[in-house]
Amino acid sequence: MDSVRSTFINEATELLQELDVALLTLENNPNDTVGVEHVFRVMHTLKGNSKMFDFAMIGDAVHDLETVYEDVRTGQRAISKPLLDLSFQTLDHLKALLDDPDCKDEANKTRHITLLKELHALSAEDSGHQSVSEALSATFHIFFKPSKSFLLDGSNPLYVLEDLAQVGKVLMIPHFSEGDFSVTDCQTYWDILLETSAGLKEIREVFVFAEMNSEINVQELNYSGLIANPSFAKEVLKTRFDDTPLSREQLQVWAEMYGQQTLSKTTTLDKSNTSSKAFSSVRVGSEKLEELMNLVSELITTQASLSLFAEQAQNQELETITEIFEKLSRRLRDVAFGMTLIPINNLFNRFQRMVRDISNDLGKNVNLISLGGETELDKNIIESLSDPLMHIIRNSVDHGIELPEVRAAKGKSEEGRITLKAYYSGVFVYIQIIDDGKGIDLKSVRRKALEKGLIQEGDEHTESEIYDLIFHPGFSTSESVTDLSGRGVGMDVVYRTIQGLRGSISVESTLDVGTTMTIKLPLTLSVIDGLLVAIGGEKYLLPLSVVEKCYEIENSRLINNFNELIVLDGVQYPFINLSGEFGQQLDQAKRSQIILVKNNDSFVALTCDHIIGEYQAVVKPLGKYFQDQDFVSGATILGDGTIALILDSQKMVELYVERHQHVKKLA
Amino acid sequence: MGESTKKILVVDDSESIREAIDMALTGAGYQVHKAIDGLDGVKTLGDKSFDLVITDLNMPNMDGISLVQEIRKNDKNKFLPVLILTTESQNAKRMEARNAGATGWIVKPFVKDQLIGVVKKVLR
Repeated sequence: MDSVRSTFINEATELLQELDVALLTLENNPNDTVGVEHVFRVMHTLKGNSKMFDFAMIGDAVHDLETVYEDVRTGQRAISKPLLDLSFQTLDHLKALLDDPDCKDEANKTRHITLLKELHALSAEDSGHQSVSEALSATFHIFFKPSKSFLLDGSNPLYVLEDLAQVGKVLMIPHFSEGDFSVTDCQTYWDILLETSAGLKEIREVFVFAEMNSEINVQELNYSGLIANPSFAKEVLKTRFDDTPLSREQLQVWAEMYGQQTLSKTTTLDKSNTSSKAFSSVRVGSEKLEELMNLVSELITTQASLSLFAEQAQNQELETITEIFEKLSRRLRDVAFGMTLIPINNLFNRFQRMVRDISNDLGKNVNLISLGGETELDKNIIESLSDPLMHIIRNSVDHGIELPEVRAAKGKSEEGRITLKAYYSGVFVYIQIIDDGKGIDLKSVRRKALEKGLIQEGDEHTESEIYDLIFHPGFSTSESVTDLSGRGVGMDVVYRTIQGLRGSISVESTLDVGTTMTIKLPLTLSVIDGLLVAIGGEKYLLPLSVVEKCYEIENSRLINNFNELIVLDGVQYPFINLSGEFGQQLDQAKRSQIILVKNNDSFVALTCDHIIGEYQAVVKPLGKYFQDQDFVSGATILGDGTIALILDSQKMVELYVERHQHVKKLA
Repeated sequence: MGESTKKILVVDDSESIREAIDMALTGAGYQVHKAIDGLDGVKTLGDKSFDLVITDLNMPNMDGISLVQEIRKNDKNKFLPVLILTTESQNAKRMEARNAGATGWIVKPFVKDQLIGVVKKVLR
């Protein structure tokens, strides 16, 4: 059962998250009846499942929450802030209970009791109808006699009785039919006394499946307090096991003796259920997925060896097979990697709650908007992004967005806005966190950096260089330190985490208008399509995504070129002589290949000895000797067993520019 | 022995419930097929023959009641037993399910033996 339990926990976590989102939607749109139905349905599923898997305390808490929302659904209660606050607290508590289902932790236990009390108080408060109907409980006499053939179609009268016991307090008096006993016949019948607040209709509903082939008679006795009365119970139980049903007259006599007379009543409650949307999926353990990825990676490496061998073997048939095999493995790769991609919405949704809670605490009014949530990213990247994004958003709420009064004074709307935006660009995914807060004050960043000795007086810095200082370890400009952010650690961790994902982060800000943080990330971490090139006898791989066009030119155009610009198709481009950079002399008489690569908004030309061709590469990390070599993003094993380094053209250009400026400075 | 393994279709949008039922019934020697909602259930049923269908009521795309109605539309499945999964508060739904042609119901929460007991009876 353990694996099912963990499935339940996963599922419950998702349901709780779904509830979080659904409740937040309700908060913004309290009259959304479809939304209420959705909330209700999710709660119902959660309750049912928790009870199935022995998470009774979760079941109880959800039940109470459901009771409150039942009133919302029937229009007897409006969505209010206290209600939502309590709901969110309950959801948080439920999340804790998933780890501690029996409340072994004292804190959880205390909270459980407090929350249940509050929920009860809430449901009692303005839905007095419940206690009224409790007082109106009536006693019914039910005669239930299944036909002899009742058992034959798989029915069991005991299930009916169990269900009946759910409706109210019951007293059951079984009787046996006299005569020959047969295993397949149902020879038992019952007189049942039921004290309940439910109506006749609900009682009849218990018998819906039994009605066809049994004798059922339900009648209300206008007396209450009978079942709880031991003397009454003793009298009626005397008749059990006899083959004589209780007579109505006799019952009436006992009822008069032991019960209190009540007025007849009829209550009906119609509960209808509506289904709402969900998406279909199969859950697979992440370790299985990882194994699949590894196998696919190995397959691709092996396939490269096979292609190489087929080429050398000069065998037509083998070549055809290899070609098909290559196509298939490429498709398999795409499908397999597609599986590890999940929409970033999963991540964005987590922040809704956080922003709500923090802004409430700080007395701010913040609206978090997410755009492009359907953008898909590798699951591992999404997981690693959670903390950095959380930090940035906290910073935005804490330091970026101003208090409502301040915003009003500046002529902005009182409600601050943080936009989370994700979109694709090439093989990269961009994530932007845009706030309309007070922006970053360049002067104060500069002053702080000077104080901390991060920069020297008199140094010249561009705006973006100054912004980048906020990612420096130990940097914090916040005047007051709150417990949310501003502890001076964080932004540097954000920076390192994103770098660790082979991504980058940049800041743009305008005072009093807002700040935009842009995170750029590779789509996937493990396989890329690349262009394999040879430089000085070694092989290198450039991601195909950055390659724009290839040219062939005479080396003479590269040698003795002082401004390092080259004209291709009538356009001037800066170029980097990679052969030279990698310590190779260019042969004046030969020709070089030029690869035009995208670099931010412009293009840069890179030279190489010759282009080998397209290659799908499994990216392997480099060992620690190479870990500081930014311009190499990894390595791949080629079909013949040799290694090719994967070049990060953008980092290479940065490094090149930096070094040449440095040389200039020295000169 | 000699009797072929009985095929049961479990329809529930909740994976944990599906798995729990699967585990219990597979353990009891039944062949269990699963579907994630009514629509998927209809698709899975297709022209195959099952011995029993167990379905949840509250599901997206197609709920349990509609599934039962859909099943009964097919002459071949006129006598296919269908059990519905309900919670104690869904009495009203049971009536609807019966009218649609369901054979019986199982109340959630249930334990393994209860489930197997009901299934055994229906499949006898």
